[in-house]
Formats: sequence, structure tokens, C-alpha cells
Amino acid sequence: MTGPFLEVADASFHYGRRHVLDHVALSVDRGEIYVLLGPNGAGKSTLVRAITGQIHLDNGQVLVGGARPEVNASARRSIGVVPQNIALYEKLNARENLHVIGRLMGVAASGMQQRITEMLDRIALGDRARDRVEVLSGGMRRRLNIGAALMHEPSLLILDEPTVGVDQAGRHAVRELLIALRDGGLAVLLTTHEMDEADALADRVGVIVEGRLKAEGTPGHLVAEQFGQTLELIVQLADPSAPQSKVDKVLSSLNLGYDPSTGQWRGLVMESEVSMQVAVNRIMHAGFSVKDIRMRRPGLDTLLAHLTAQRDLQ
Amino acid sequence: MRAAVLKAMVLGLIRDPAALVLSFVLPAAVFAIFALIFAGATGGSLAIKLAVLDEERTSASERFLKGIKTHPQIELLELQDGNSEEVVALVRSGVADVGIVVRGGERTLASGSSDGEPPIVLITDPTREIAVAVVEGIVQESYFGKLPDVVIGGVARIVATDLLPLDPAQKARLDAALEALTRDIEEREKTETASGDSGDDRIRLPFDRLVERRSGIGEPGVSTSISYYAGAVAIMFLLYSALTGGLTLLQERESGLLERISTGPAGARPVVDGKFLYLVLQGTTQVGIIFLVAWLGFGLNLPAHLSPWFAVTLAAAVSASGLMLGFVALCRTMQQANTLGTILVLVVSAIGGSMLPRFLMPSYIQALGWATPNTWALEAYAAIFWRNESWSAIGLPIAVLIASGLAGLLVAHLALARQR
Repeated sequence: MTGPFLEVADASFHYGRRHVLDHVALSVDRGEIYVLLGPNGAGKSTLVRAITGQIHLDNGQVLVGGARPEVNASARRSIGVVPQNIALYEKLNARENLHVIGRLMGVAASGMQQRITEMLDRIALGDRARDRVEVLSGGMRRRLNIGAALMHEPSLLILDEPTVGVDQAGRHAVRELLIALRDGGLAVLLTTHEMDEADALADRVGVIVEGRLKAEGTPGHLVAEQFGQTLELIVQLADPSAPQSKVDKVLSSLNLGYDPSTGQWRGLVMESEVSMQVAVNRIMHAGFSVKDIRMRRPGLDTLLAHLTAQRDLQ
Repeated sequence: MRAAVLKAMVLGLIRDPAALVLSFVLPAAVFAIFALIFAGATGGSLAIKLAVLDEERTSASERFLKGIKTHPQIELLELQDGNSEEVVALVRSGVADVGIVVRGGERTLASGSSDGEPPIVLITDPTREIAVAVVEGIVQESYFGKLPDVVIGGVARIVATDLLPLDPAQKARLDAALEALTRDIEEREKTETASGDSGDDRIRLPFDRLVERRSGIGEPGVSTSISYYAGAVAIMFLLYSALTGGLTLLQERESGLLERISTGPAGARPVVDGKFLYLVLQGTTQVGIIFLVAWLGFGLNLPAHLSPWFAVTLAAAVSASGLMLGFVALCRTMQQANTLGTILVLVVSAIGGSMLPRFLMPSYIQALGWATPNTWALEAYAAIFWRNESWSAIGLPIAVLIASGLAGLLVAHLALARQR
């Protein structure tokens, strides 16, 4: 088969009066990691449910390997799903989990043991095969969570926040595994809130806000297209009790807005207009003590914040 | 695929000691406690604490009370000196279940008169109506058995006055004959008391010569109570265990396991079916352990009824498993299912007869009980162990239990399909 393995065309869906998906179109090729970004409630989960055939779209269609998953069992069978939670049997060991989930996904009993052994090696859990899930580390559970979704050898792997709650080493191992899977020819659709993960893994990114695909492309291209030669200025004041009106006046003049989730002032500035030195001078001149000040090239997090802010303004 | 889920559930249970205890040890322990309590209360060794005060202190009152005091179901609290208020206090405080006072008024037991206050007062506690009913029976038994001269005298006076009027000479002869009868009885009582022999009872009107007691339900006594409570506890725990097992369905929905499996060739159906098979297996084993304890610990004749017992147990397990899976699948969250499910199990068990024998319930509650699996299972066990009935008697309960279980399973499938 030529062309993308997953194709979503003009997909629309609503719950009651709320449009959860609004004419969404995207595609994922074999050997590609597509990262879907979006705030909570943007429609990511609904899109995934449409792709796995769990809901029927109001308009548009989803094709997986050229077939519609909501009516075609072989199309569904070509999908592997890795939920955000650890969807495994806690009291069973790694090998038993792969066996049970493999059987439920239609893997024949003959040759099952060899398949399990291969999968355990692939997810680097061969030496922990007899350990129950409840005693495995967070990273190991995540890898087993992915391995279980691969037991029936899908062509499209869908992952929801695959590294949430995992330490740095665990994240690294999961990312290595996903890159290896991509390089092995798997089409990978990943939803995440972890921007560094998206930066590290994405071949292409789609940003979905209020059911609409607002932007799509490679991370570098998207950021450059959106922000051009602008830089992101990030300031964190040392004294949060500084007079609010004065802080607003000074930092607004630098085009900075307050981000309550991080406690930082952030904003986009033209590289040619505001240098780090100018920013520092203005803030120091106003008498504020600064804990941290940075200027950087905008990333995917800036893009998502920017597109979400546009929604909020509307 | 179903076997894979069944295996996962069984391994999950085996590797969870707390769940093992809750599933198999707790039900048997609760049954044993019920059996120890209720087998004693309903199995022939019922002991009623009776406070007795004889204010009349006549030969007749002594004979009357002797019949009561020596009754095997009475545990006597006798007040030698005192008044009726002390008897009331004993009943009110719960020291005595019932009190009897033979008044020392004008109208005595022997007078045969119907004028004035009754000579016997029963002091009762409304919360112990069963004990009161038993004591009323014992009072009547003692009156007829120990005071036949009083009974005959009363009847003779009615005959002499209303049916066959006697002339004064005849009346005098009747009175003399009754006095002689009383003396004769009193003499015999003294002789019996001295020798410990029950003596000649030609002139008695003993209750047991009037009424023959015969069981209409096979082996009476402890065995019937044991089988009732074995069944009652079993079906209640079947429902509770099925609820707990069914909750894993929501756990797996919340963890995303069902979502993951729903893309598989058979969707989530094997998960529901596998859980159903597991719950039936677990339930059958659970009930088996309870009846094993009833057999080995309390003498229930399980081996004689093994096949019909197994059929009813399997049907009850099917019913509980299907109904609870259906209920859980209709719930949105674990908390909702847990809270509502516990209430449901308790209410259904109360109405269905798992907490209190059905015959003690009002008729409309008994009728309502037929809407619960508890009642059908209990009636089937009663047919097997109490009434020794044939397979045909348990055919309908088995059919109803299996049908309700399969209906519940269907609801579970439909609910999960709707939620997709």
C-alpha cells in the first residue's frame, strides 16, 4: 500500500451542542512519529476514539490501512493502543500480562511463548519477565504497557502520554523504544503534554485547539513559521510582593504577560528590538530584583501557549 | 480469549491473600457464627427465661406452676417473696423474657369462677413475642395437665347449671366427687414428688395425649436451621463477591485496558465473558466451602443431596455473577458501583431471606422476595434439605436463577457496547 497509513479527512463529531472535532484532517505515514498537541478538552481523545473505531463520526472519515476501523475488524486489528494509565494486570507478571493481552488481541496460542520472549527482549524486560507488574519500576511498567500493545504486531501505534510519571531514565528508555519502533516502519501517533518529549520525538506535529487542527508540520518549520525571528523572553521575579501595578507597567512595556502556572512573565520580542541587556536594564531600573531571566528561541510549548491564548482571546 | 481472562482473574485472586480470605474464609466464618447462634435458637434447645411469682400459694397454684417450672424449654427465675412489680422489673431489664404472676386475689385458680380479675398474669416484652407465644402454650398445657380437677369442675358446673340442671342432692354429690378428685390428685402429686415417678395419669388431661407432634418437612431440628443459614449466607456472599469481582470491569475501563482490548478481534466481549466464568467458578467454590463446613461441622447431610445441591449452587452462582456484572456495567464510576452495589446487596439479601427467615416476614415482603435471587436459591435449598423433594421441585428455581444471570450478562454486554 502506498500513501499514509492513517488518514483522517474532514472529521467532525459533536457531543450534544458541543463540536468536539471540527473538520480535522491529518495523516500519519509508516515510519513516522506524529505528535498531537493540545490543551485538555481540545478533542485529542475523541479523535483517538474515532481512529480506533469506537465512535462513528458525524462527517468525514478515518482510514487505517485503507479501511474504515469502525466497520472493519482488520483495520482495528492493525492498531495498537497504549492508554495513559498502566492498563495491565497488577498481580500478573510481565510474561503473563503479555500472554493474556496477546490472546485478547487475537494472537494465536501456538508460537505465543516465542512471541512473548521476543517482545520482552524488545522492551528490555527479558530479565524481569517473572516479576509481577506491581513490583516493576514506573519506566518498566511503561515499556511493558507499550509491549502489550505491540503483541499483535500492529502497523499503527497510538500512545496517550506514554511517559507521564516516569523518571528521566525511564523517559529516555521509552523514547529510545519509540524511535526504534518508528525506524522499524511503525506509524506512531502520540498525544502528549510533554513538550520536550514532542520536541525529541516528533517528525511532525499537529496542534489541536477546540476540535480544530490549528497548525501542522515539522516542529522546526512550525515554530519558524509562527514566530519568525522573534525570541521568547522569560522573567521570574525574586520578590513576588512587588507592587502589582508597577510590575504590570514595566513588564507589559516589554510585551510580557504573566503565566500563573509557572509564576513567570513570558512574551515574544523581536530580536532586533529588545536585547537581553535592554530587558535587564529596564527591570533593574524599576527596582525589581530578578530571580531568573532568559531569552530563547520559541519552542513547541510557546506555540501551544500562543495558539491556546489566541483561543482565549477569541 | 475467555480462558485468558479467566486465568488472569484466578491468578489475581490466588496472589492476593486478603482477597482469598474475603472470598473463602470470611463467608464460612460468618456462616459458622450464624449456625452456632440460630441452630441453638431454632433447633430444639430454645431456653426461655421465665420469672415466676406465686402470690396465691394454694395447692392448685403450686401444681400449676410445677407443670411450668419442669417444662424443658423454661429457664426458671423464681421469686419466693416479692410482688408483681419485681417481676415487671425483671422483664423490663431483660433478665427475664416473660413473667408469670399467679395472683392472690379473690378469684383463685381453683374457684372456677369467671367473675373478677383473671388469676394468672403474663408480664410480656413486645420485642419478644415468640417467647410470649411459647409461654402461653406452656401455660395452657400446664393448666390442662396439672389441674384436671379444676377443668372438670368448671365443665361440670356449666353442665349442671345450663345443660342438665341438678337438684340440690345431685349437686351435693357432684361437689363431693370433685373434692375427692382434687384430694386424690394432690395425694398422687405428693407421691410423685417423693418418688420422682410420673405415676398414674388416668385422670390427667395431658396436652401430649391430645396433640401428636409430627414433622412435615423431613428431618426437623438443627439440620434444617443449618441448611437454611448455609444457603442464606451463601447467596448473600455470592452477591457480594460478584459485586467485588464485577468492579474490576470498571477498574479496567478506567485504566484503559478495555479501550486497548476493544480494538481486538472480539472487542471487550471476552473480558466480560471471562469475568462471568470466573465469578461463577469463584461463587461455586465459595458456596461449596460454606456447605462443607455445614456438613463437617454441623452435621448437614450434604452427601445425600450432592447432585441437586450442586445444580442449585451453580445456578445461584450464575445468577449472582450475571446480575452483578450487569449492575456494575451500568454504573459510571467505581465509587458509584461500590456504594450502590453494597446497598443493593444488603437490601436484596434482607428482602430475600438471607438475614431473617422468610416466614417471619410480613406477607408482602415475602411476595417481594420472589424478585430476588436469594429467595429462589433458599427455596431450592429448602426443597432439597428440608423437604427431601425430587428434581422436579427445584427445576423452576434453577431455571429462574439461570435466566436472571444470563439476562444480567446480556445487560453487561449491551451497557459496554453502548458506552463505546
